[in-house]
Parts: sequence; C-alpha cells; structure tokens
Amino acid sequence: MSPSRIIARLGSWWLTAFLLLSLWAVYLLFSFGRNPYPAWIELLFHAPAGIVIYITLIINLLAASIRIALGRLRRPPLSPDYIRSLDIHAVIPIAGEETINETAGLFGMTGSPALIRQQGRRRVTGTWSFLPGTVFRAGLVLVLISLMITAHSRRTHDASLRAGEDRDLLGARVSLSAITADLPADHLQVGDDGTFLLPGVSARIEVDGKTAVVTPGFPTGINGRWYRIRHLGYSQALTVVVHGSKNDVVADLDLLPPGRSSVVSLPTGSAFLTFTLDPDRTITKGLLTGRQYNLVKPAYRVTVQEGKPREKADSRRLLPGERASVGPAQISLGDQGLLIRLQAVSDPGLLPLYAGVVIMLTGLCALCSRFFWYEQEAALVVHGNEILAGTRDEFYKKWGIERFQRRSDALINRS
Amino acid sequence: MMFDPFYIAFREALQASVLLAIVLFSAPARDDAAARRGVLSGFFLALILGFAAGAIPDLTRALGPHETWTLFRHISESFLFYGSLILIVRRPLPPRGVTIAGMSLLGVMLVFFEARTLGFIIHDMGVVAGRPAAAFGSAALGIALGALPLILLREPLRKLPFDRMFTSASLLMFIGALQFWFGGLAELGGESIMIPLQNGLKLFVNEFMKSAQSALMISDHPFLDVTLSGLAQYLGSDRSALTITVLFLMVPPVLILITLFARPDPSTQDISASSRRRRNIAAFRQDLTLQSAPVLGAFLILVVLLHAVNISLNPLYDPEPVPVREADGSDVIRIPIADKSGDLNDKKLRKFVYYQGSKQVLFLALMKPDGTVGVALDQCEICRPADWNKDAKGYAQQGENLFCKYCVTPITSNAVNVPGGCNPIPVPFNVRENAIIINARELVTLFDKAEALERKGTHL
Repeated sequence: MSPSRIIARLGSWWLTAFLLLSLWAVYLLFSFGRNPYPAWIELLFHAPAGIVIYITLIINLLAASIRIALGRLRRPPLSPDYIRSLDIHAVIPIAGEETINETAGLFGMTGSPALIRQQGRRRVTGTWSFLPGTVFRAGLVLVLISLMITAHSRRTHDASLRAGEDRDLLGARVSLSAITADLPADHLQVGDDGTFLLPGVSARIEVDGKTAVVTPGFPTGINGRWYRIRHLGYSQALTVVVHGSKNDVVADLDLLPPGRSSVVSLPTGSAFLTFTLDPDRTITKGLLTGRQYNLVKPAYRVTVQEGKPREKADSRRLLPGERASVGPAQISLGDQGLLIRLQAVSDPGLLPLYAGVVIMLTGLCALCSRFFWYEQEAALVVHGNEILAGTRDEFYKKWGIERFQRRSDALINRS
Repeated sequence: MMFDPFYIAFREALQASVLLAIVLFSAPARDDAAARRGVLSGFFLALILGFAAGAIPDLTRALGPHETWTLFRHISESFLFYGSLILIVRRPLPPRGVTIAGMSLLGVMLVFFEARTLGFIIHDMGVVAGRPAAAFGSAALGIALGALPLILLREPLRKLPFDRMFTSASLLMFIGALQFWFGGLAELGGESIMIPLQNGLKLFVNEFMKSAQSALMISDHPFLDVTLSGLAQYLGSDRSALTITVLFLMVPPVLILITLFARPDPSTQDISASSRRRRNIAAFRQDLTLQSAPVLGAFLILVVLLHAVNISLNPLYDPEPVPVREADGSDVIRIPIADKSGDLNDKKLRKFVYYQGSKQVLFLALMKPDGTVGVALDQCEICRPADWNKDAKGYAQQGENLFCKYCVTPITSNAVNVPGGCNPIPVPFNVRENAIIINARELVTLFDKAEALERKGTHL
C-alpha cells in the first residue's frame, strides 16, 4: 500500500466518526453505573482499550490534516478525465484560436492559445483555505497529547502557608513573603452566605531564588512547576490556658465568607475552640437583617467547649491582641494575619495544554472565514478540436454549477 | 370488553400503520417488490417476536429488564435518525442485496420494541384483571382496527407522491423523528429519548467543564475571583446542554435541507421548446417543495418534542404542603432531611404547613445548589395577591429557581434564607442529626410579623 493510501485510510473521516461513536458507546455503557464521567475518563486515559482509541484518534486527526494538505497542494495533472471528474464540465467546439482565448478569458485565465493547446490551463483560488481547519486540528491534537501527558505525569501538592513561612513543595523550597487581598473593612452580609466575591488576592512567593506573584487565576510557572492560590483564610496566634495547661497555637481559621466556623483543637486537654467572625454591627430594617464585618481586622466570636454531656458552651467576642476568660479557658489572641492554601503542580503537559487550547481557539475563530474562503477550481484542456472546460467549488456547488452553465452556454451558442 | 388493552393496542397499531405506510409507499419499496417483501417480512416477524417477547413471562424474564430494552429502543431510534447522515454523505446507493436486507431491518425496527412493550402491558393488564384471554382479545381487536385504515386506504395512499417526497436520507430521518415521538408506552412510563439525551448531555457538559478547569488549573472557588470561571460556568450550564441537544437533533434535518437546496437548477439550454423548459424547471421546483415537506415536518416534530421535554424536565413544581407539628414534649418542629417520604437532596421544593389555632403558617424547605438547606415562609415581603387570587400566593420551583407565582419573578434557590426583595422570608432553623429543627414559636412570630406588615400595607 502506498504511503498516500495509508494516510488516506488513517485520515479518513469515517474512521474519525467510528472512533467518536466508540467513545460515545463506552460512555453510554458507563451511564448504567452511578458516575459515568469519572469511569469514562479513567478508561480513556488509563485502560489499554481507551488509550488505543485515544491514540488512534490523535493519529487519525494528524493523518486527516496531512491528507487534506496534500490534496490541496499536489494536484493531479490536467487531462480530459480529470476535467470530467469536476463538478461540471462542458465540451466547447473550437471555431478558431479566439474560442480558446474567449474560454480562457471567461474563467479568468491568461496565456497564449498555443500554450493552452499544449498544456491546458488551470486556475485555483482559495488553495490555502484548508489552513483554519488544520490549525484547529493541530490545536486539538496538541490538547489531546497534553491531556494524556497530564493524566500520567501530573503531581499535585497543596499546603497552607502564612507570610514568612517556607516549605518544601514537590522538591522545591517555596517561601511566602507576602499575601495581599482586597478585604473590605465594611462587608455587609445579608443572609448566611450572601454574594461574597473577593478580588485582588495574590501572594508573593520565592522558589529556589526566583520571585513571582501567584493568584487564584491562571497558574504561575516557576522552574518547571506551577503554583496557584486555592484558598484564603485567617491565621491567628493564640495562647490558651485550660485547667492550668498552657497551649500556644497558631490556628488556621477558615472563616470566609462570614457565617462559617472553624474548630481549633488544643494540643493538650479535651477542650476545643470554635471561631466565627463576629459582626461589628447588625442592621435590621423591617424583616431584613444585615451584618457588617470588618474583614481587615476581624473580630471573632470564640466558643470554648470540652465535649462534656449537657455542657453549656461559653462564648465571647474577641479582637486580635485581646485577652479574656471564656468558660474554663484563659484566651489571649496574638497577631492575626492571612494564610493561603498554595497548590503546587508538577506537570510537563500543562504548558502544551494551554498552547493547544490557544491554537485550537485561534483555528476555531479562523474557521468562520471558511464561509467566504473556499477552494474554487476552473480548468480546461484542448482535446482534438474541442475544449473541455470544467469547474469545481468546495462549497456552494449549486451556484458554481449554475455560473458555469451560464458561461458555457453563452460560449457554445457563440461558437 | 376490556377498554384499556383495546385502546393501547389500537393506538400503537395506528402508529405502526403510519410508519409502515410511509415506508411502503416511498422508494425503494414502492416500485421494488423484493424491497417491499423485505419490509413486510421484517415488520411482521418483529411484530410476532416482539409481542411474544413481552407477553410470555418466561421469555420476558429471560430477555432482561425493561430498562435495557428501553436503551435498545433509543439506540434503534438514533440509528434510524442519524443513519440518514450516512446516506447523505455516501451518495451511491448500496448493492441491491444490501438494500433489501436494510429494508427488512427497517421493518423490524419499525415495530419490534413497541410490540414487545405492547405484549408486556397487555399480559400485565390481563393478569391484574384476572382475565388474560379477554385482554388479549381486546388487544387483537384494537390491532385489527388500528391496521384497518392502512388496509382500506392503501389505494388512495398509493396515489400520494411519497416517492417524490422522500429521498432515502429524508425517509430514514423522518421515520426516526416519528419514532422519537411515538416511541415507548406512556402507560409504562415510556420515556422519550429526549429526556435521557438531555439529562446525559447535561451531566456530561457539566462534568467536562469541571475537569477542563481542573486540567487547566483554574478550578472554581466559592469566593475567590478565578479567571474565566464565569465563562466556564456558562459553558457547563444546563442552558449549554440544551443548546447542544438542539444542535445534536437538528443536524440531520438541516443537512438534508442543505443537500436539497444545494442542487443546481436543471440545465435547459439544450431544450429548444420553451414550454418543455418551463415544465422541467417547474417539475424541479415542485420536487424541491415536496422533498422539503418531510424535513420541515421533522423539524416541527423535534421542536414540539424538545419543548414538551423541557417542560417535563423543568415543570413549574408546586407541591402540596405537608402538615407538620411539634415533636411530643417540645416546641420544635423536626423535619428529617431524608426519610421515607422523600429526600431533600433531590433539590426539589418541599412545602409544609403548621397550624396554630386559626393560623396557618405555610413554609418551604429545599436543598440549595450549594448543598446547604434553606427554610423560608411561603411568602415574600413585597407582593401579595388579592384574596380572590389566592392560588397565586407563594412560590413554585422551576429547574434550580423558585418563581413567585404572583409576579413570576425568578429567584435563585441560593437566595432562600437571604432576606429582602422578592426572596421568601427566611425562617431561623438549625440542622441537627440530619433533620431541620425549627422553633415553632419563632415560626409563628415571624409569620405574625409578616402578616402585620401586610396589614399595614408597608412594603420594605
């Protein structure tokens, strides 16, 4: 089998349809179970059968692009049979050299009648119109390859970090120098969760001597690893003395949006503390109740419990730096700050994945041009005392054929 | 005579007759005796085997559960509908042997699944009524009467220009669309393919967007501002799933229509007589009109089905309130999140009524999309219908939203327990031991406050 035939088979749209239908059938099969999507993804990336379908799809898309490009750039030589294989053709009797000139002129071709007699003539527009589709498929192939790499090589690690801390994450020393967030000093919360959306969260980190800013948005790449903020909370230093035993703790408080509570267990004893954000003001208007919080310097409501039956828990409002007795505990709050949950990812497939998505979207946008940018071919050869002329349009064939009929009819009538 | 078996059999036979008539009087069966025999033999064989498969209990048990056969029916309907695409792309007709085998298979697909469900339900009705023979007798009469129009009208039907109306692709597509419509028995809860299709796509699109965000390391966060999360939420939403469903369903009719209208007008240059030229062009245009009819018919069927399915998937849900009272010896109302009467995790609205003296406190509870419970009075702080329009009082649910029945304002379910505006008035509650705990006194006080506001005519 010749290489072009192999490419034609591998790059056939029938094969694409078959592979996509196979994937659909597998998904349908999994839909009898409880979680079809995760099972389907598992099969696609980790089971031999799924990997075979996946890789065949990649090969198919690559071969299709090659097939289409070759088809556009390597045209068969002009011959009467080729003209007859076009969308439409006509036989025009040659009345004289001017018939050849007229025919060529009608299809926008130039050249001496002798040369046309010898070699025929062809005019093609929109030869490169296959590019948008090829760019789209190239992006898709890159995405598919990257996803496979990601599925097999991504390592993820999450860690909570406060400003000034450093930690080993995926073999790199990461130190966090600062956290910034546009926390409002007068956040009005109506209801339990409201519509709390916190912009402007970022952190400055240093990884193996390189400094960068990470955000909850796109990941930041440093030395081949990717970093992103996954969560934001408060960090609160506190000293708790319960029944004579002293506990110095730096608590990670997951209190945002206001209304959430966070439990802090103490290293010694059975007592535990529950923190919630305490509003600075409660505003009631009719049945409406809103609570105003200062999220820059938050006040806590701290509840102390020992987990005893029928225990009446005691609670108190406390600000950072304050000291108070709450139930059986003496609590002294120290410095308050922010903490982030930093996600570190080692994934050689992430950059090509982004590149693939960008290329794919570029191709997708460019595909809109295909409504106007398509291949049109007009060809003619002289065969004996006749001209064989024909045209082929990639799209809108109806109008191409009708246009040709009008022109050729005029010519035939004249000659 | 048992009426139900008769009616169901009559209806199904009538539907099968319509399908059979279209196939028999269109090309290639119309002019090809072998193809016609193929269709009829497939049809009657499937009718007998399908009916037996449903009506003989041992065979029914051996052949697997009803759900499996529903899936096979959906696959068969899809195969017919989307098979038309193959005929559009692959223009040359297959060899004659393949055509006849295909016609036989088409005959089988026209009736097998319906015959199976029909056999099953007739047997079931007969057993329940204790008169199986009477049920089968009624059904036989129903089938005979349902088939009668086809038998009686076959000559006038033969004169209809089915052969000019249907291309092979549009025939398959139209039969597929009709199967989507006719498929399944409502009496067996037979669901249209649209419901699993749309639900499946919803799930797929939603999960796909989540995994795409995870792969790109831009997963959503409840309160941090994540790049492109709005776009991802939109693309992964039910609305996108509906759009994909529509695109999915409209591909075959649209492609067939494009193929029809992309044919060039016939060349009439070499015809000298102008009357013949005009006749040729007129015939071409008439063919075009006739061939567009089934495609437009399929469009109509699909649009109506999509609309009906979306209404059934997202009906205005307004449940009857369930009376509740305090637990013995306490002043709290305890509503289990999940018990025999239902599970709030299904995200459906529940309504309750608490009586105290002459007071009737209507309140609602639901599991919000964010997984937290919401409890509120079944009334808002703003508008209230007049006494003569009491049916419009309170809220109903459609999809993930609540709707004020009076002002038809959609309210996101997440806004339950958020006071203000058109939101329902929040009721204080706790969740303990997998149950909603509401203080009855607080509930009544809140109700009284809301009523007092209404009496004052004050709106917030």
